[in-house]
Amino acid sequence: MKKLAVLLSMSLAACATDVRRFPLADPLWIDEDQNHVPEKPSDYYSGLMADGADMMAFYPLSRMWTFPLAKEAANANALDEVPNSSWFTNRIGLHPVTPEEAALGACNGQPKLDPADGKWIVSGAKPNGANPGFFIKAPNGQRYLLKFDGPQQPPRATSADVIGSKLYWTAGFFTPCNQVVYFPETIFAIDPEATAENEFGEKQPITDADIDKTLSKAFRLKDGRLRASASQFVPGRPIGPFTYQGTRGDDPNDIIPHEDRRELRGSYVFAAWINHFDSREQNTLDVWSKDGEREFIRHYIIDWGDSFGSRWPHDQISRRLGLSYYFDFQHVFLDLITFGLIPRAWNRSEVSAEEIFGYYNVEQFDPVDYRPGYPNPAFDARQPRDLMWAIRVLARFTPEHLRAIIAQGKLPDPRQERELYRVLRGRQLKLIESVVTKYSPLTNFKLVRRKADSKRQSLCFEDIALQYGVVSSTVATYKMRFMGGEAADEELGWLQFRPDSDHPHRSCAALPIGHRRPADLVDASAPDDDPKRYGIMRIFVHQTRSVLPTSETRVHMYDLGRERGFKIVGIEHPTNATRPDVY
Amino acid sequence: MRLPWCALLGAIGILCGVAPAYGQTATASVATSSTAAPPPPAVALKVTRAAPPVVAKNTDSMTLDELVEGKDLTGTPKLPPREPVLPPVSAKPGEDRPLPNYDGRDPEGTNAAQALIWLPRVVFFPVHLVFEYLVRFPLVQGLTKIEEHYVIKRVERIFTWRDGKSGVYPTFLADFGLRPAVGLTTFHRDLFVRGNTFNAAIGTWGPKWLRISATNETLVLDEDTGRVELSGFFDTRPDQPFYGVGSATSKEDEVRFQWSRWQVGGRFLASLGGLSRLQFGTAFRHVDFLDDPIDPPYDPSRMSAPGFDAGSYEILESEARLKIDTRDPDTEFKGGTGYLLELFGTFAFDPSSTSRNYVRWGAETAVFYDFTERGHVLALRLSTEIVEETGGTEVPFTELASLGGLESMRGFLPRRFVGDSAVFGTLSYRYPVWSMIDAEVFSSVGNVFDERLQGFALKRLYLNSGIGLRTNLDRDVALTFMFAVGSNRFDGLPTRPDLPRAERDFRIESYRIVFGLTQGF
Repeated sequence: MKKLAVLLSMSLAACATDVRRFPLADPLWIDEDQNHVPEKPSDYYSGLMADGADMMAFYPLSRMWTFPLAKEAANANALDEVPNSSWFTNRIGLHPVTPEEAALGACNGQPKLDPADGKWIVSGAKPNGANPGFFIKAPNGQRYLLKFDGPQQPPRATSADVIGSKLYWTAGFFTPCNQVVYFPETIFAIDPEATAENEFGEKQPITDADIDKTLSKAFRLKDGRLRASASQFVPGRPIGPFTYQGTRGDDPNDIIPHEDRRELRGSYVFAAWINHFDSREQNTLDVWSKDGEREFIRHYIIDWGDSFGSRWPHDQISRRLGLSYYFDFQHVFLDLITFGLIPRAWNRSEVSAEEIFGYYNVEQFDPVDYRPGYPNPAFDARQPRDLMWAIRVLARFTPEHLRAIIAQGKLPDPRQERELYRVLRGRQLKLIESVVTKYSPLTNFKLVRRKADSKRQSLCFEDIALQYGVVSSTVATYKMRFMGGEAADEELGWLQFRPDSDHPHRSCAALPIGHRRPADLVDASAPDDDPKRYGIMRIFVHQTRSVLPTSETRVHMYDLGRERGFKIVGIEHPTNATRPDVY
Repeated sequence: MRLPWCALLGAIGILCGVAPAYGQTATASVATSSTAAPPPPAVALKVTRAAPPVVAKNTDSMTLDELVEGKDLTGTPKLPPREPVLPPVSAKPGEDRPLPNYDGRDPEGTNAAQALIWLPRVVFFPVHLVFEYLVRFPLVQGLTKIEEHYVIKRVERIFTWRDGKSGVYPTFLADFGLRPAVGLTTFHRDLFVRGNTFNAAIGTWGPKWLRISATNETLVLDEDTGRVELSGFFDTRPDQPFYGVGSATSKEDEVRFQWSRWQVGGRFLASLGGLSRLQFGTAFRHVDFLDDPIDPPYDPSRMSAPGFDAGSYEILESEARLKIDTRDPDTEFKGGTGYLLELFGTFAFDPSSTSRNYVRWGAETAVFYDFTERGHVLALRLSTEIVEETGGTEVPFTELASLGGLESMRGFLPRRFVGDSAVFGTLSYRYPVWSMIDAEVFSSVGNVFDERLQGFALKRLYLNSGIGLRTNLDRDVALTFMFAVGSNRFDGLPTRPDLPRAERDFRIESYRIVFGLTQGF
């Protein structure tokens, strides 16, 4: 009892700790997770049935007895962003990416796969997956996996594989270079050594008949050319998928449980966006990569062929994809005990006007409760801050980006392109609205000196909610409180304003906002990281006329004096906006 | 126009449009604070517009990045490299890298929830170990090996042939109150000629329980409009229940008997469009009642079982059946609304004893309403069956009208009610609970009566209700689970007729659980 009391008192004491200051340092942008690994990690095999059963039943059943508490992502830096690593590279989220760059995606700088260059040598065949495929070696020296559409919904699958890869690459993930290719039937030559596993895992030589059988189901143009998606082999040696939970025991660089990685948690948003319900570990790839003298694992996401409304032979399953797991204990139980009277989105779904997109729509899309085929531990571990991060990235995709990327899918009918754009844009808006009306919509904080000869800084930011029009700019109000002092509990100034109607999504506030600034609290000779130089700008966002704020963002700064100005060292997006005592 | 609003709102503490947003054409005055808390009421200050900045294009729609490009951004954090770069080495080759301090701050303190949660964690740690290492690990590893080595496909290859047109699969059915059954079913589509299907099944549970059946179905008219079906079966079972004949039988009178029977027959089915059809058929059936002692045994002194004492009988019967069903034949999702009318008539006689002959006739009607058009179907079904002796020799009790089993009055075992006529009504509601499973809740009332429903009265009916789950992938073969209960008769009879009326209350008489693979042939 005594020990428990001590523990409790320690805990309560911890609750009452002062503000956690960020150090006066640049944010961590490079995660040093590409150290040389002397021994190649072993290959990992993942099966659909085993992984599905594990994720739907065994993993949660075992984990529930550890009483897991929700926790924040482990790899968010001081700006609440994700550092570059062997998993992720910040692209559109933090850098300008042109639509042309986004359309190229991972193909930027890669040789083009041109059927005019010569024969494609078939070296193997894809043993599993919904659509058949070949491994080929092209005259440009590169190897590709060619995948075909099959008889269902052509050419959705090949388009989806290409468009999905571009969207994920632009967001920052490692992806292969996927492209749609058209080619004559006669382009193939079979490597005499080429073998492929049949459906029983037995290796057999590839014959002309095998190729003819596959091509007979492929999408074909009127001029006789065939269509496929060509996925270029990524550099390195594939060693199997990565898991969405735990770490890889034989990779010393892999020390953060994957379900705690923000980029994997946040990929929920991108999977929901394109209905990548097949976002399971089998559609990821660890590659034993070499860079200079170092060998390490790089982590890729692959295969988006089931996105954008894949339909299965059993219509009841197709309707549920993205809305319910393949077997969803919660939905089954609730439907059973309520006699199926709960209105379900899958009962309202209609096949798209462009039939190739099946049930991929905006109307029935639930951005808050998107469900892939079976539970994804990283998706399930997502916290509001992970969603906010992903939404900040998602919001940077402009209509021009989407149109440029969709064009890479080479859909044969412009109506299909228009419909895909409409749904993608609509779901993007729904995703954004679901987050920025509940949590902080503010992003892209900058300190700007507006005139060359002025030392006065403005704190500028963008508001995603206003940018996307999900909140009225005539209602939105910002209330800023600048806190400083030893415990950062002394109000140094305040400001309230509404966004400018000319450009409501952009706002700036000249600093300091009060008569005092943190540097005034210390002697000029105080070190730069003196705690009293520390200030926190609490920005309360009001999206309704309520006196209670909708959300809050805290910008942590050091005040280095009037000459050198403020320096942003950290950004927090609390998930529960609390009013200051005096408001 | 904004200024008056600002003044007004400023007076109530909210200021608008006065923050000097970057790129804004005005250097607006701000409503800002004093250093003392609480802040004074905000006052809308005079707004002065400065000269517009020189910009090359309309800044309204520009992003902040575009707008501040080239500006002095001192104090703004640096951005990460745009392309992947090889980071500095953080650990010796082969050693775990140190965990970076990603946000640079001291670790967050432990809160009460984080401290207290260790209590259940420690207590239930053994449970976690069991689930992790005795359940999860072996099962997931086993499934992985099965997939990795294509075990399912290899097994499927053993049990199917002719490109999947022929095959064999196991079956099982547990019907609590009866003996369970395990078996094998073999199917052969397009056997010998296109459109010819042959199915056969064997089921057993010990030497006294055996069922062998076979059906061959051949398309004889174009577009599946006419089929000829030849079928036969042999079964012998030691667990058949019997409660007596008539509307006032009691659960307490249950006896069991053994029988052995075989049947061959054929029928022609003509499609009338959709699910409607007309069929004619004939069958020959031989039945033996076995006299092995079964508990509880049949006791002629307690009840009458017509035909049982003769030991065996044979029946040759001919049947005509008309079924009008307006529902959509699509088994999957749509068109649950419609009505059903089914009429049938059978003439049967015993070739070895021509005085034993009878007619069986009846009707069934039902209405179905799918109120979502997504498989939420409310159905009301009424059915009656009448058996009339026409030759002077009594009809064996196993040929009389009966209720109970999996088709009618499902809360009771088969042949719970046996009589000259039977009637029952069922209100059911079927709804999808999963993409491949439908649930059904049902409630039926019914009983058997004397000839032509003589003696029918509502108070003489029995009630049964239940819930069932059924896979919806195949019309003929389904994995089924059902739980149902059956009541005593509404009027309290015949249970304890010696008791005063007030004590003969309505009560549950029967529980029934069925689980397994049910087949339509």
